[in-house]
Amino acid sequence: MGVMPLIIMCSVLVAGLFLTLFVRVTRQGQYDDITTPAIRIVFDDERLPSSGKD
Amino acid sequence: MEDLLHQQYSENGPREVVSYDNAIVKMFAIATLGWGLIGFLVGLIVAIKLYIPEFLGGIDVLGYGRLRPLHTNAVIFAFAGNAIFVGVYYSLQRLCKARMYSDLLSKLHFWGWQIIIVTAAITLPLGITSSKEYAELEWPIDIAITLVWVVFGWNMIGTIMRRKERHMYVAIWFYLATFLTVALLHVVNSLALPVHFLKSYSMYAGVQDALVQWWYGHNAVAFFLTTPFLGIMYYFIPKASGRPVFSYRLSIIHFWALIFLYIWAGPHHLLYTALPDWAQSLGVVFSFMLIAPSWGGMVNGLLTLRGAWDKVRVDPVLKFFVVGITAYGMSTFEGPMMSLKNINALTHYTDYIIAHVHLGALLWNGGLTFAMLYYIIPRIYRTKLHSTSLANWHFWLMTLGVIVYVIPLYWGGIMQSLMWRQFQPDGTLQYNNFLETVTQIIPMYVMRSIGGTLYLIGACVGVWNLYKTAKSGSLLANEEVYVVNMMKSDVKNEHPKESWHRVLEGRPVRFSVYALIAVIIGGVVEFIPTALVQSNIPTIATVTPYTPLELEGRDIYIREGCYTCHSQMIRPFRSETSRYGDYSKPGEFIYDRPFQWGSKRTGPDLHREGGKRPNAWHWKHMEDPRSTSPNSIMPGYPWLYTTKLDTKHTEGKILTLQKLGVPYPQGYASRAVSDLQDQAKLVASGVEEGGITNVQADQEIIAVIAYLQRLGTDIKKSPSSTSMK
Repeated sequence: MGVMPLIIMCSVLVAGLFLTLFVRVTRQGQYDDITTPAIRIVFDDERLPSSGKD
Repeated sequence: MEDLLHQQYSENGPREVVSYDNAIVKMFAIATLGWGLIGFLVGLIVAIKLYIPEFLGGIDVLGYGRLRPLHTNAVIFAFAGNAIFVGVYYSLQRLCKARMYSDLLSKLHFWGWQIIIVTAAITLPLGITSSKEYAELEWPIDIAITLVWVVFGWNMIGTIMRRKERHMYVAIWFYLATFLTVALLHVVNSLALPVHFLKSYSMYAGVQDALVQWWYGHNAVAFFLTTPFLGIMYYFIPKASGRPVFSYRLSIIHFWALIFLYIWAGPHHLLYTALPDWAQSLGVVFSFMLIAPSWGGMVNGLLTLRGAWDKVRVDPVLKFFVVGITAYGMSTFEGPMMSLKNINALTHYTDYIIAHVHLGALLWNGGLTFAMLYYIIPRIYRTKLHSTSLANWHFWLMTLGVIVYVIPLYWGGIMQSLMWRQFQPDGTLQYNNFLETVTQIIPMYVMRSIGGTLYLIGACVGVWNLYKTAKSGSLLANEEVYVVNMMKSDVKNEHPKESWHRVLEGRPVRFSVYALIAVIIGGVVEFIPTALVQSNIPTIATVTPYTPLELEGRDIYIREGCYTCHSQMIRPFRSETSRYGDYSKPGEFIYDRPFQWGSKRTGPDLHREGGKRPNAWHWKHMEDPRSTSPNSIMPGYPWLYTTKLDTKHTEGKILTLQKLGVPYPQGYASRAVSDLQDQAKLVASGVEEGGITNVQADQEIIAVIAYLQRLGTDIKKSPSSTSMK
């Protein structure tokens, strides 16, 4: 089963990458506010008059 | 409320104008629908072939084993793939308040992906395949996929870098995970050594190949058919219902938990096989834990509609979403259950799995895709949906179609599995003839194709409705909107504590991608050679490499897609050893590149087929299966009797395998063709002994018979005799 280390290494790599990302973005304050992001996306952007309003 | 929010934004900085690219969204949407119809139609054709085996029969490029991979690839990579890109290109721009990073990359991505699909649609019916499920495409196409995928990731990450919104909404995380993980899976699983432009042998052999393949296969479901669609769910459900997601906190937990658990679940595809026990158990544990984040996500999606259920009654977009998410919940309940060993023993290799994946593909992926298109198309065409009642028709045809599809197959799968393991009081198998268990479930096969037809009709109605919608409006190719750039420094000062990482600010993703690529290259270089050498040390003395004729026969077996219906993996159950013979040992597969364990037994397992029946039986059976096995649903392979075996590449194949560590004697390649011809004469005379006339030793069928007669026989040989000189 020589290939097990490869697969485990790749899996750990992916997991480790995401863990690093998670810690980093949490420290950056990505998840400080978990109320407004959900609300903000519900609003549509205001189109320029030239783009037509539907 | 909108005015209030707008005022707040304006206090933070001046408004800017951003132009969203809707044209690329339109292109991917058209591709989704077009390829979708083709993928569904091919699926219907192969479904009909299961009970009318000679439907479109006798034509090599339309054989079941060649069309089935075309169906799966078309639905996964062409239909769902393009749908993912529709969702990403539409929602990412709006979430980042930025146009896609580069119009050129968008176009390269679109056309590159479509060209790959076209080459797949040409090569798979021609039998050019690696036979690794959902990764069948040969190495030049694999390289093209890698390049186009990098273009997609580059474009997506570039857009995220340029975002004008500080917070990355949860959907973006799902998209990022999709990109990163699929890239890794695809590269690792596709490693192969080419013989020539259209043929390669897997870097891994036997058990190792199986493990890598299902690590890929399961994660393809996770990171191609699940995470991007969850991103789509988290963006489009709030948009379509006008309500924020039920719990944003839950969505974050959902994301991180899901990606950490999914990566480990692959071995549940290989329970009771030659895979080490601890690896199987690891897969089971993680698969079972997956139910928590999966259901968390489902509940979060459905509860977003709390208080808005009245809208679900009237809005087709929400109807499709609700049914899609419900199907996701059902599939992700079934998944962990089927990864339990005792349930897996019952459902594996049966049509239960086919029902399970179609519940996911047709309702979860299909339902969400159509919901998303019904949402997007009227908006980018500045019009209203052509007909709500047609959309309702589509909805019911889809939902009823799937019910008519899956329930008979669930039933048939369990019934057949129970028949396989039914013993008589005297200890012999009650249904000793495999065919008896097949003919029992043919009514279910008929029902499933009716369900599939309903689904296809529904999809046609949907395509027509969307076409009429587009016709009634005009495309807003570049949608110009006002945004406030929240990434500007004066806005950033809201978070004064983050000065220490100014340099890394805005670059975490890019940085991580570079690190990932670096480590993978290092890891691959370090591990692959050792893995390969070790895997070639025979642990069973009598197991020897395939002879050139058997190797060519095996490559024809792969070309015709025999593995789509026949497994080569006998599990250690009494019902299987009584039916097929001794259970399969890991050491028997060390020369199998790629492995041919299969995942479905529409026909019987073939691992111990060698020596069971005379050559002449195989000759008659492959030409017309019903001549030897009345009521068989196997198609005939008449072209194997009229095509001469191509030995042009035999020498190259032996050389390639030698490079991979297969112990053919030094210089054997030059003798390979003459050895092949000698063995072919022997096999042909064996066929003639059975009373067949007009046998020519250079026909393809001779090589196939040689391979079938070799299967699983090595273990029965005495240690002194070996087939190689």
